[in-house]
Amino acid sequence: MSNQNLSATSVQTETQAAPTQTQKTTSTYWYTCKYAPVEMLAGFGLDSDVVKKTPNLFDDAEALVGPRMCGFSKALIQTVMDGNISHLLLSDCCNAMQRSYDAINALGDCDTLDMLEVPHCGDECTRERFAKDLKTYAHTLEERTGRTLDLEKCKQACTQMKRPTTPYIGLIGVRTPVWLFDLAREALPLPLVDLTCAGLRDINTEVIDFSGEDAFFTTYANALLDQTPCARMANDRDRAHLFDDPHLKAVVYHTARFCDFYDIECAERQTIGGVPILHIEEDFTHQSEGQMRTRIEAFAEQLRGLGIGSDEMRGILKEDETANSSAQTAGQSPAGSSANSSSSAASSNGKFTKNEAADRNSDLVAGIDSGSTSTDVIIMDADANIVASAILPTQGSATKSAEASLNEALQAAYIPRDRVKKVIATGYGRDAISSQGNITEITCHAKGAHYLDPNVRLVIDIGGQDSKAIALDGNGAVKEFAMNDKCAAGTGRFLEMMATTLGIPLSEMAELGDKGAQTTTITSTCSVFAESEVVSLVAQDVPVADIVSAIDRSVAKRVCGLTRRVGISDTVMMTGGVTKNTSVVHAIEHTLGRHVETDPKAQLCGAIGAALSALDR
Amino acid sequence: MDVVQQFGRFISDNVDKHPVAMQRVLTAGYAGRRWALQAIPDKHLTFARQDAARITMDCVLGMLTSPQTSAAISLFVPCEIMQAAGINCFSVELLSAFLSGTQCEQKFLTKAGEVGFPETLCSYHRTFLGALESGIVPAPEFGVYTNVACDGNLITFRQIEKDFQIPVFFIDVPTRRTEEAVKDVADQLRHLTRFVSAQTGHVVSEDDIAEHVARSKRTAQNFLRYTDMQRDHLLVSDMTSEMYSALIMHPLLGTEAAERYSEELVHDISEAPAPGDALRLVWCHLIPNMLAPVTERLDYSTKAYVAACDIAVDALEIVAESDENKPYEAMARRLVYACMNGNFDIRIRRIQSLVERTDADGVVLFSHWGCKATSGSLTLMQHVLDRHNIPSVILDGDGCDRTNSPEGQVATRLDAFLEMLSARKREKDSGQETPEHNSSKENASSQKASGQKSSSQKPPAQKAS
Repeated sequence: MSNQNLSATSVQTETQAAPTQTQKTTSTYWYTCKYAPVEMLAGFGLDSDVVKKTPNLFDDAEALVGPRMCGFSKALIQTVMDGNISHLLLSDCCNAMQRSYDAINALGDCDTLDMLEVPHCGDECTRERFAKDLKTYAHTLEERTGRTLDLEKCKQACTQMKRPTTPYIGLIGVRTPVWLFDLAREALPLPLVDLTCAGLRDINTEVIDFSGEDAFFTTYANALLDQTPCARMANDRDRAHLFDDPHLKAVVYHTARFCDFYDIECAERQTIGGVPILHIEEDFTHQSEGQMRTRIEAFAEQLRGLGIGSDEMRGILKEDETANSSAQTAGQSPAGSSANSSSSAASSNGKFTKNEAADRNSDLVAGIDSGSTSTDVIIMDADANIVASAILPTQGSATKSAEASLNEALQAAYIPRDRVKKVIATGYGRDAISSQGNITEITCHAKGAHYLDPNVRLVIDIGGQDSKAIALDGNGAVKEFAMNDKCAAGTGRFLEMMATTLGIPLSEMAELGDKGAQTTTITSTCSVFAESEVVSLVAQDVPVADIVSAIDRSVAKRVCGLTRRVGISDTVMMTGGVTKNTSVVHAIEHTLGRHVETDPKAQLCGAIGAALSALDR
Repeated sequence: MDVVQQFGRFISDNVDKHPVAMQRVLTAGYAGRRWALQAIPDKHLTFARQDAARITMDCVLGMLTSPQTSAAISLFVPCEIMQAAGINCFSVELLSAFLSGTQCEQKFLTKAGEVGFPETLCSYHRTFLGALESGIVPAPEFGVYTNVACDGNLITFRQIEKDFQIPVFFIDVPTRRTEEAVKDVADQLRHLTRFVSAQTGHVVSEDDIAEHVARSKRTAQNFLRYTDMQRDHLLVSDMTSEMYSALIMHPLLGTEAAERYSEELVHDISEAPAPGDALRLVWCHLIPNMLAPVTERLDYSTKAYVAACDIAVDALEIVAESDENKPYEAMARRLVYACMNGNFDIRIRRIQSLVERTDADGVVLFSHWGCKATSGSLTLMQHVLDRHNIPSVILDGDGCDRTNSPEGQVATRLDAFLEMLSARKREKDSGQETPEHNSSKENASSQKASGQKSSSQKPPAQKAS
């Protein structure tokens, strides 16, 4: 049974110890929603559990219901198709579950498939209806199992939920895949409590009357409907309680693409203020794991900066993992392992002469930004002066690219390796690179932009794989950030795809964009659609410059959508490799309605932030 | 740049700074258009189609000029109660379709995104929400909505209640189709009458409602008669007119205008010529009247035309046989048996029925962006149609956001489908039909679905309630 206790530690323990789906017996009744009558199932002696473990790929399911359904519904259908569910109890809670029912029913792969109609409101007549539906379902189970409802067993299965009594971070919104919960739990500085649509089952068991069946169904229906409402309920005002708990110190708000119920609550809560909120969105595949890790770790860094998760707050002693990590990796700097590697790519600097570098005797630090397109290195002295830099394409592996870039920077400035005393890595490859620590590129871009211009309050970073909007304070600390979802639209990769489709080099795109007429538009919603549209425009003989202009505006629209989520400031800086594409910069300026700064070192912004972090340590 | 484009751009460029002034500009523009529809109507269309444009424009103008006597509704809400109270009902889709036609929907979609509405939410709903947020349209007196068809309704109406303090009434429609469900919804509709009376100060009697329900019944009978005549007559149309039909048969069903329109349709089609070799299509879901590859091929065409749309016909068979002396039950039954309520089986049966009624050559299954209720069932529906040897094609697109459709792909799919239907028709006429050539399979998903077990052949599941 899954009678979750809301105490923070027990949630974590339960999740860790939760059996995988295949370990369960084939008699288990799997359910998907907190309104499922699990206590009643227990009354029939039926084991039940919420569907947690789902496959990472669901191509067959997607073929059945199409791509525009939420990832959970596709993962659920795929789980059934894979033969891992014999008994499934769905709640008729949204269009996705209705279509899941249709698909699973058509497949016929479950031994039993039930759909419980959960009302959208809790007025008297719908409560009565729900009670009748529970009774009808009980009769179905009676006929199916040959057993009668044992109210004493129902009572035993009831567990009163307890609110957390120590500081915690709430996971709110749409249910998450197990890997995402685990990732967040490990990264965040306080216990993570699952308050999502499938996690928060706060039934007041004291109001349930077990004296007889009629009384039971009436009171049980009330108890189920009186839970903290999920966002599909017509009246969701009681959800405010989730955010009012004094022990709630931060929120990870999870939304799923194509599940629209929770986004607006997240946006409202971010506007209202209060506890820090991280909004993450994914689609139940592992493909977004790298990006999720970056976001969550950046949030953890932000929280630690605010003192959230300190030993005092936790009330428990916690090892200084960072220091420990640094100690473990001391002496394993990239230079040490890259002594035999070489690079043929050109350095981006060349500002420093052998004599200048040789005159410096102080210790140096290095920041490495391991991106999907390039690996950038900055070497700084103790006074935060840049003494060398390098930008090389990321090729082969993150580690080798980091070694090559670091060597390139060292050689360009005639700096011996042993003068670099500390290396901090950032970017997608940061975990792979051997260094004295790693920090997310969110924090690093904020620090880097502050270094380049202390007046900057908003950073727009368009990298090869993703785009970000980062709001920062006067000290260069992250106030808030937003990243694009898994779709490539609005990234450097998207521009590469479009250049390939048009058959022109990226450099030419940068020149053409400003020359094109703004008469054509391209979708900003989906990169796949966009590619198809470009092909159509080419077929219509639309001038290439006009198409490029449309592509630039599409990217600008997408990226500026992110900036609105964090708040638009007067001083905006754009970083990342796409700063070299001036027509995109101009399109963003036009869309934002304000000047956007760029800096010759904009592409090195992440590496600068990493080097500054090395100095801080 | 044409006049409409310039008008839309002017509104988009100025609405942030001057929302009230732009509301007046929009109203004046629509009033001018209303005059043009009367004075110089579209000569390609017959009187009924011309009148449909005027009827829907009157509805939109009514909400712009008299918001205090207007109600926003979700598409499937029966409106006879509000009509009896003298309230002008407009659906989210109606208003958004007009804003899209004015080419300013992008501004309101962007506005909705800024407020926090996800881009995967139906674009009709986002445009409506963005328009309200921007102030280009006034807040209606109240709203009425149901869970039928679209989760977007739940999000949209709850939000307008919060953001604009618009009183809303929710009708929770069970997805099972039973007389008990009809009774349940009928009770809720009785509560709706009290709500409407409280909002308007107008005491609505059951007799008043029954009168409107009786009008709905006559309208439904006319519209079905018109639908049945499609097999023998080609009444030239365009996609916008088809969309108007779907809208008139919902928020305006029960009004004198809708009844007049249905009579005009019967009259016009009875005088229309025989369809000849023209391909007849049944359209599933909302009509994308702004999607160029579709309008270029089907507007005013005598080669292929939409003979019926499942959203327009919906539950009119039930309405046509309803008992006006039990108005609440009549309206409730229409909701419970709506084509988009609950599982997809009733919808596919309706589509099959429309194919039979119109002797259609094929079915276009339109997957409107953001409508999970439809897009999630299209492959399953195509599978059923395949088994019944009814050709079909799935078109992905967006009925409201003109920048959000893969136009090249839509054009190719639709062209290939029409070519396939023509070839099939020729074979059929020459007595050489090959059953294998019965479906457009360029969509990989449909091929996958063909490999699945049949729901009708193997129905293992049992509904709990």
